[in-house]
Amino acid sequence: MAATTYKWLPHLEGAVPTAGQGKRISTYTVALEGWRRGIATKFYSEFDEENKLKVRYCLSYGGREHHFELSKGDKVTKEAFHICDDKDLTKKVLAKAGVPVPRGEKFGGNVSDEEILRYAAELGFPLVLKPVSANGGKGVFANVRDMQVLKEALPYVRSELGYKEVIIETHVPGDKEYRIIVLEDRVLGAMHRIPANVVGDGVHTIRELIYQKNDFRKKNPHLTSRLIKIDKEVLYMIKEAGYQLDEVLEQDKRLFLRVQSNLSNGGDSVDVTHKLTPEMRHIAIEATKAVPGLAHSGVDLIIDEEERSGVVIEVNSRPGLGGHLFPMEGKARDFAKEFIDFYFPETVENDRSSLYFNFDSILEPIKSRSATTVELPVPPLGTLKGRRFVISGTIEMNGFKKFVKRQALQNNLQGYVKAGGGAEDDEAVIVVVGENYADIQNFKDECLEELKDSQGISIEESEWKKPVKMGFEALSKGKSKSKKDLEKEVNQLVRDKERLEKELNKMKQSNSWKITSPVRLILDAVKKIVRLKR
Amino acid sequence: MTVQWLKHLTEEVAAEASGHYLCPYLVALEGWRRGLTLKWYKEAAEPFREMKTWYTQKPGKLFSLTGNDGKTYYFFRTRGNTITNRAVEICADKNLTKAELIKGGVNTPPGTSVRASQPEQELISSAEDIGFPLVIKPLDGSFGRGVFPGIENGRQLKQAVKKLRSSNVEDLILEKHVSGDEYRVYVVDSRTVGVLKRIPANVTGDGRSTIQMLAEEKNRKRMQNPRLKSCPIVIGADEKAFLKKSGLSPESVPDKGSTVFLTAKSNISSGGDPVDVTDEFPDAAKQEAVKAVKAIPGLPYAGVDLILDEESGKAEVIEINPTAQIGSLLFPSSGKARDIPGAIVDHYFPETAGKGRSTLYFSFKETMRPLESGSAVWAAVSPAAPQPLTGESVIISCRDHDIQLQFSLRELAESYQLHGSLKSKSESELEMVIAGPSESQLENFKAKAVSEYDVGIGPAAPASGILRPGFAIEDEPRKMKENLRELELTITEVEKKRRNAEKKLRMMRRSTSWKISLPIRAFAKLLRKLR
Repeated sequence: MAATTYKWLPHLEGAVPTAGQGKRISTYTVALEGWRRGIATKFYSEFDEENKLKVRYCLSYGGREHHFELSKGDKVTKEAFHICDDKDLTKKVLAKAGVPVPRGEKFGGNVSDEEILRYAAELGFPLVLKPVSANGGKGVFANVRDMQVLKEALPYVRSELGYKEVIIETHVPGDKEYRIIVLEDRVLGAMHRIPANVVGDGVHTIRELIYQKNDFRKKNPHLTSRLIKIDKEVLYMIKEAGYQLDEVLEQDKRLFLRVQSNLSNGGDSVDVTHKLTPEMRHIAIEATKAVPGLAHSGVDLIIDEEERSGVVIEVNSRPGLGGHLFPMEGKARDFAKEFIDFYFPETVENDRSSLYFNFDSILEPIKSRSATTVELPVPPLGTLKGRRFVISGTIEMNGFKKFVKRQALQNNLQGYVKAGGGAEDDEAVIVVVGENYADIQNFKDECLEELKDSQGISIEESEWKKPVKMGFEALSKGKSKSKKDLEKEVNQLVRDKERLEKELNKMKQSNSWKITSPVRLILDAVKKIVRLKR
Repeated sequence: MTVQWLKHLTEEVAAEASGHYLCPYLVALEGWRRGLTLKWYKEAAEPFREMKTWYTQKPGKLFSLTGNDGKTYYFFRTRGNTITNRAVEICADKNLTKAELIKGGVNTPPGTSVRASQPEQELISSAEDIGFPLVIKPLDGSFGRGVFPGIENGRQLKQAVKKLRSSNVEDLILEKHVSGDEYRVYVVDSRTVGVLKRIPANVTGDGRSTIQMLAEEKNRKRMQNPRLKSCPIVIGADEKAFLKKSGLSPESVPDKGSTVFLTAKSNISSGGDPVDVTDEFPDAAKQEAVKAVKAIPGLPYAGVDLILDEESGKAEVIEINPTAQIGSLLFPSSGKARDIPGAIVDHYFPETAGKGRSTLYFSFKETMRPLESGSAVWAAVSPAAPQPLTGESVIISCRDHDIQLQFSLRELAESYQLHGSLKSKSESELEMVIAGPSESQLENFKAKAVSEYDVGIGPAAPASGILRPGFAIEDEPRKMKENLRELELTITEVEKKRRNAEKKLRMMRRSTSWKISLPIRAFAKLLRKLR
């Protein structure tokens, strides 16, 4: 299935700590790219008008400083941000510059629902209803086909959700929406979000495929907590397509499980850079240029049915980079690198560190408001030499782990030590990286010296090339999960087990199984004889 | 014995940092509470490269305070950078200290430096020049380690040197023994801020308990003192030998009201009692301490150790400590606490003196986190909330709560800039204390919590005594861990069973007989439908 086509950017493999996953992925990856080039990096807190805490960061190099929030740096002006934040204003600005946008109108909070409905009748159906300022597709009704639907949706968005200001615009036919990332006059790439789906292999049931997909999503630092939940909508979609949840899906058949393509609802990001036509590229660049002070952006384009051109429905001043860096299908695009190249062109040729920083421990005091600012140390630049050691034998693990940590720090090595193997503490796994092999050799000798009186010690050594977290950690076994997660897991497993057993029983009880029982007896006997003859 | 600590330094505040981290925390806290910007640094951070520091692998001893005018001072523990490295060097070498003191006309016992490797005859002749009784101690020692007091003759001297050699001490000082009690005088800018008498570890009898029991009882009391909790009385071999000299053992029962000493060492770390004697300490002796600090160039403040002969009133300065611990002066076992952090911050930022301070304190452990993991060079502590906080206590009811809900509520509270704590009350109830800058902020949080997490929030009761900013979850971590462990085991078990069932099912589906009987089933299904 799709999973097999998915490839990591090697320098980000295993280099995204929990705090940098999900919604903070742009912040983390852009800062990491800068930090790895030796750019001084600081994280700090800011409070918005609601007094909510926001994490920001500052990069400085050669006396020049740039401030960032998410993927947006200070080369995007405040004015540009405000234009993009207001969908109606964006549309006016784009229309004026000749960029294709859907026709439509914005309505203030004091306009009555009746007046809006009158305008809608004038504009004609199908149309789109959306709030002026809301994020993440909240309150957006696409493809409203008739007055009846609009009459229900309008009070829901305005009164119930509380978005008094709304936009009514023509629905552009074509169900594909591309997010195109533009940097000045260059298109960096594009992504297409498709609704949650599974692809059949002729062996596994739809339920099993969903689990597999979720397991795979858990490994993707952008989607790790955005899983496909088997809920009413998913069950409905499966039924509509003529399947059942516990039915095997045929080879290569892609079954969509939701209508909305939001990644948070289990949708996939697919790289579509190669599908961009010159016309689409032109529109995206023009849209970005049309907004004064917008040095880089994420342009949302509804693609026409011929997939040649499109209409701009939104311009984002701080697009998320996660979908591009960690797509579920297609090529991963390193826009964090492009952004840092743009802000700090003098560092393009700099050596990169192969380390990454402990974002969890940096964010913790900022989020709890114990600290306002945390400045990171500059890492050793260039690729470090790395080794992985697996030491087996009778080892007193706690004491040895402490010893290893001390020796690693003394030898200027980064990495970790953990107990490997089974339930008995008979294996220590150590990963160390350092500026030269001499330090590693020295460290290894010290470890073996420490274990010289232990029983049956053997050591395996291999090259380590993956990124390593700055500092040295003695890890405890396994990743601890929250109680809620574990309980969920238990419930899920119990339910699965019961369901499987039930199905098994049903099959056994079925007439066709009973009828064929003599056949099986004969077949088994034949098999035995064949085996004996061999 | 009466004891009076400072009102703004409660046990809770001091519990934030312990051991060697208490003193730096208290000085940093004083600055922070006055509105100065506080940053903590990791070892070898730029501003500290030139500064004389030691044992800084773990963060929590290096910090800076910055005033409104941008003026910044850097600190290693209680010592800031108005104290020169040279002054630190002089004070670290008892011989150099002595020379400076003599130059400044300060009383100090005569003495000379010797080496442990010198021939014994040379050592004895140096000792005779000074005259017995005398003290032999390491040139750069501290905490009373390796000090041999009351040496009366050459034989005792030889024994002491032998012990010092075996612990690899080379540079020593021989000093004339001075009779009297030892005091620690803390001097800041020519002012005596506090005077402390250290009384060797002792117990007072009740006529029933043994010395051992009395020591244990006293240790329980010491646990409640932030300074003393890390220094319990330990009755080891040395103490037993000391008791034996007066015909006692740990099992002896002292008379009611009689005090039994367990050692001659007066160090707090050996179980000694810090007693505040500031008010009754003679002025002349105070002046001697002030003179001693002045005698060392580049030393605006320090802790001075001196011996006062009560009869003659003569004070002799033994040692000067520019990086002195201040915990005992702040948390004495009797007497009044003396505000040393206040005096130190007054010295650096006189414009903030007497301008009041915030009642909040900051979380030492939280701030240390990125420094401890090696992922930060420095971390700036959030400023103290300027206005008084509005606080209340509410009961949160929910179907059944787990730690995840507590984490979520904490994150939400933090996003609303609230301070407070959470603790589980029953299976379906949590007790939450929230404090924020305004009533409306609390209301906004509660509304959001109700809508977001499907919980009920009971009527508010007034909350008392919120000091610590940030949000604490107070449920016992061990209990939570146990629950998790159990769940993990269940998962492994059920997972095994599930896999088994899945495998059987797959084998059946793939089996030839199931496949060949497919048309039969299809036909049966059709029949059912038709019916």
